[in-house]
Amino acid sequence: MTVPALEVTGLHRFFGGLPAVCDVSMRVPAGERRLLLGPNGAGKTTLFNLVAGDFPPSRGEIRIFGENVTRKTADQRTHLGMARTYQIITLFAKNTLLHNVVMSLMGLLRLRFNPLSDIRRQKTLWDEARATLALVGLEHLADRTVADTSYGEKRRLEIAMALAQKPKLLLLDEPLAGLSADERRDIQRLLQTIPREVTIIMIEHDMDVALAFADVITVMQRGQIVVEGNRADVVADPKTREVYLGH
Amino acid sequence: MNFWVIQGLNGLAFGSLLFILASGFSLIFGLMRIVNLSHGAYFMLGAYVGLSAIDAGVSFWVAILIGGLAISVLGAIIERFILRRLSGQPLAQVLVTLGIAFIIADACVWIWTGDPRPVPMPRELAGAFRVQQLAFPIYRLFVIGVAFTLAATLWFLLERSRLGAMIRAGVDDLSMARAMGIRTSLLFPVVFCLGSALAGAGGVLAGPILSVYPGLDTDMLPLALVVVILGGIGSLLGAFIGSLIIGFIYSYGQALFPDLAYVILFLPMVLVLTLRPTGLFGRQAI
Repeated sequence: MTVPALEVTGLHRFFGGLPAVCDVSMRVPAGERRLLLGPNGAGKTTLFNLVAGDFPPSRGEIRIFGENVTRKTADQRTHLGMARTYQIITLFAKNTLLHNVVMSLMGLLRLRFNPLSDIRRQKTLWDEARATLALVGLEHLADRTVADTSYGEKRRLEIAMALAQKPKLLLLDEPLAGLSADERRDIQRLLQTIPREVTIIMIEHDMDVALAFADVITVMQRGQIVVEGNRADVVADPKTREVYLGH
Repeated sequence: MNFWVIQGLNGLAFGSLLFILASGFSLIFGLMRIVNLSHGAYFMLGAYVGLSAIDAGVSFWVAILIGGLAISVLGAIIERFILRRLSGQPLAQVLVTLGIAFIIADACVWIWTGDPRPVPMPRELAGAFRVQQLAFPIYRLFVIGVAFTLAATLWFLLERSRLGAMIRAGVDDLSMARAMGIRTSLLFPVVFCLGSALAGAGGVLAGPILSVYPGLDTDMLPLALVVVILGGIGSLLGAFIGSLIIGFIYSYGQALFPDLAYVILFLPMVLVLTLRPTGLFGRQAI
């Protein structure tokens, strides 16, 4: 049996006495496109944050490519091949798009802490960053400050930064949220270009895009997984209807 | 004319000392959001350690290194075993650094007694630099040179180097920096040690000008606070410009209006806090 990209077992996270994630177990094989669905407050982003290492679980275990990362920090998980985007766009707003991607590339370099190394002279780094921006169609805006770009461009930049890390496991938290129809199509096309060997777990509310994208869907409610299966099974499951329509 | 030039140079020299102290303070606050009220005590302790090293027979230059290194180690211990445990609790961190300042101050009196101690100046920098009728201590010119060199070095380190890019990333957004693979838990001690080392080495460097005495910490800390508030908390350029402004105000204020020296010194801080709370070069809180 091949090692799954992500395996969580009996995961709990309480905030105060309130369970945000409750006994979640999930196995995502390498290369799979997994969709996390659920109403607001279902615990999807909390689950992402637990997997990414933003905060530790109250109980349970997280494995990335077979390695137990439950007690590892976010940066250590990144070095294992995990990258993510955020529900609320998180970028270095005062810097240029190019600098943001350079930072993403630099985080994984062995000599990243070298105090004597002038980053402006790392030509290969800047060339690679430009190439990554070209992948998401933002090369022409490379020298623009992030604060001066549109919302859709910021979303694409976030994905570019995640891709720059050459992830094996990519967590996308509502990458289409707040985008126009044209921008959605652009992002959708962009997601389809990501190599199949990259495992993608995505939270998304746009059902048309999300269902077309996913191999397997996990539906969450009140911090728990209520339905899991392929598209047809999940859509047909009465629990899915109950989660979304309340009956 | 000579009065204005000499006071101007004195202001530049004192501002330079302030920059060496305030740059570390600003650096620590910029990344870690810790108002380190023990920074003045690090400055004084560094001076005492350097003085003891000189008494033991080492040269002034080695004493600067020893002062910086000793305070850097102390800073590492405080960061690792106290401040890290209080992560995310700014009030507790401020109070604990204040407590540490008191402990260091008392320990200094206990070890080095309450008598003021002059720190001997290196022989090669003794004497005065003369231009026509003007004479100015060579040592003070040296301190000015050190501060400008330090400013350039820190600028390169923060603005141009990979390490600086990581530190700035951590300052801008910690969680994003972590998600990019930056080990922010390593950045904190690096920055805290660097800031502490600057305070310790700065204390030794200031010794021949200010001497070392109980209360040096509480004399210098408010000045460092004024500098970073005036220049903008977390801004290296702000610390540099703020130090020079306060140095000049202090020097001319002491000479022209000795009774109002503190009013003149703190008035700019009050005005900046009222009219531009982020300081001259500060950024909005993130």
